Amino acid sequence: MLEAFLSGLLDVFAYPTFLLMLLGIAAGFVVGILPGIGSPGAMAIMLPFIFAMKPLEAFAFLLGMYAVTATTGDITSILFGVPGEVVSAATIIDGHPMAKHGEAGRALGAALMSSLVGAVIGAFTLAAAIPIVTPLVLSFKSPEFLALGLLGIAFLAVLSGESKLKGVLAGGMGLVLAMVGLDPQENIERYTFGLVGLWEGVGLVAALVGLFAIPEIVDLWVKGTGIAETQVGKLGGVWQGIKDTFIHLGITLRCSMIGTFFGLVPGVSGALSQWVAYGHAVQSASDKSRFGKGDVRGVLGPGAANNSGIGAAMIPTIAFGVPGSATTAILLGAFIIQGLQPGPKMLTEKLSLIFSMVWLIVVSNIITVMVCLIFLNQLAKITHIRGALLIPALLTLVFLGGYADTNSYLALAITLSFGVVGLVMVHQGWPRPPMVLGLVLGPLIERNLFISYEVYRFGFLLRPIVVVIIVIALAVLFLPNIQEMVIRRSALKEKAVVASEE
Amino acid sequence: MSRARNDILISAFLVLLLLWVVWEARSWPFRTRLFPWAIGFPVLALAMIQFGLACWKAIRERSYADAVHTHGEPVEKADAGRSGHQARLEVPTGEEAGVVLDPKLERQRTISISAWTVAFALGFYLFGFKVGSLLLSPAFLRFQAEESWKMSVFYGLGIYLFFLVAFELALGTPLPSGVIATSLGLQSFDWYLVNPILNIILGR
Repeated sequence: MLEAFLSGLLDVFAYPTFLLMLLGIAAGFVVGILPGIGSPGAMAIMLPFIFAMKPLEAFAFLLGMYAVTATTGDITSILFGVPGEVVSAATIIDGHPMAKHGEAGRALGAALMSSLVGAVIGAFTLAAAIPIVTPLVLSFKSPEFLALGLLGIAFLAVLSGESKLKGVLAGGMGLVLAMVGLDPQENIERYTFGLVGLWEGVGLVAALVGLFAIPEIVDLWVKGTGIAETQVGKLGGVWQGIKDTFIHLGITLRCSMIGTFFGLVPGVSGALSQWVAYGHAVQSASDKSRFGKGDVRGVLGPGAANNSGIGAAMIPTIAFGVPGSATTAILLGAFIIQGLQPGPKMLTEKLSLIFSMVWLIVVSNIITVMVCLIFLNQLAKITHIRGALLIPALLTLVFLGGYADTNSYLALAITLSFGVVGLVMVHQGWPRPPMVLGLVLGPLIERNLFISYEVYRFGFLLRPIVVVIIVIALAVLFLPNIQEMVIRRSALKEKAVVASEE
Repeated sequence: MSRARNDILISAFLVLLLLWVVWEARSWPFRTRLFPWAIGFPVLALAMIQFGLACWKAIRERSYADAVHTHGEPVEKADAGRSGHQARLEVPTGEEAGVVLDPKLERQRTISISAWTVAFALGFYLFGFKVGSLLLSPAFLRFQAEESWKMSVFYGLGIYLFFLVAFELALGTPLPSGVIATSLGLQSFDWYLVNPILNIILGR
């Protein structure tokens, strides 16, 4: 394993892997700094580039971009009070007031260094988790993987939207869409309307770019960007921010652990962990008076938590094929495009690739922080790019992505259709990540269902681990409702007591 | 149309779609219909519940609106129940930060960008990706985004070169030439101009 760990590091610096990682980082800078195109949309748009790449090259490109977006999103949060990414929103609370008080450089230094510390902790957690989860994963059979797939959809469905039912339904619709095409057992056409172009299914990339990228492009045009209304002055005090990370190392490390923990749990993305980390930073401080007005600890907490989740979120994705967020769901799609199947095979036969991913996260974050520190003033200028200038290039990449997946013009219509579905879902508050996950996991779930039934008949539902997973899934679905009911009842009781006392 | 009414329409559509999904599977062999039924029936049940909830919500909203209209009761904000702590932590995300648009303008912009999206798809179908983007990118920038002609034309050429270099030369992925060129039996519209130049540059 140590050999794979070291060869994973060497592979990162091989040509053209390293170059592709740098390209991914460059793309990540633009995506992360410009609000509008989020990390899932950008990841989906970049998928056509990976068709001609080898697995390691593809992940160097994608992980390079993914690792950067959370870090760079902090830049606009601090400078303009506009988060480049949803996961950078908590940084605004103290980061932006610091910028207003002339401490933008210090806030950025703190955000960047804490992000790096968080990313390194998250990445090495992934490395450390491999020997622990491998025996567990190897003990799992088809029924367990089937249950895990459904559990993953339940997690993402419940936690990624305003309505649990809509989330679960969206996940279910993703599974239904995955049925389109030739049935894998009997080669019978299912829901293809007689179109040969649908025999292979709806086309994962066409669906992904349609669902995620088109609504974001529409949003980019509708809202218009060019977020920087004011010129940014020279950013000084960056080194003080870096020092702050180590002065408050306890907060940085604890918040990194919070981000790692949340990253491990499917469905609980950085969007939540940053707030928990911020809350922890406030709670653990003896003097809370500066929070909300520009306390550097309020920048360190969310910064560390965001990036530590990246490596941690890869653990359930690689080990169980259960991604924790929209971005990792798309990354799982990239695994499938590259012919890789998460689970036992990946953990035993592709160990070097997994460790390369660990190193990719670490190296790309180090490079990002270095580039940010050196070119901070220049990077701030990216915010002056008008959204309209990005749209033609993005639209071309979107449709090219859809086409390249199946080499069929039908993919253009599928991309457009999913674009409409994505727009409606955004407008009506239906979460898109569960649908993507359903679509990605559909074929795996069907295969595991079929094998489970063939081997165990319905007895597979009574296997101990399956029962445990089903109980967890039910708890995920219904526990919040039960908690809410208990809280309501106790509130009613309290009211009744107060009324009787009066 | 209100969000509640849209939800009714969407869930009704889903119920009908899922009914068709499970109905269509009835004549398939067991191995083929196992997954469609194992997933289809529970999801259909969920869609029916969602439909019921959407109807109930719409009725409740309507009766509340009627009550407000009749008695002039103040309308509470939907998020009034949130705790102060939660409210403090709510920060606008990248999608919504700092931009408040007139709904009419928002609708107009949505329609125009949607039309351009369809136009791009159609352009790629007819002319292929390179020539399609060479034609459509400047058109979008000049006529929709109101950029200068110079900027629009240079941008179009830049996009064309990007796709030529990144996909065809670097990644070795040939891009389709579009149905018009194919039906005319042409290699692609740009091939006859660009290929000789590339041959010279690359020494082929």
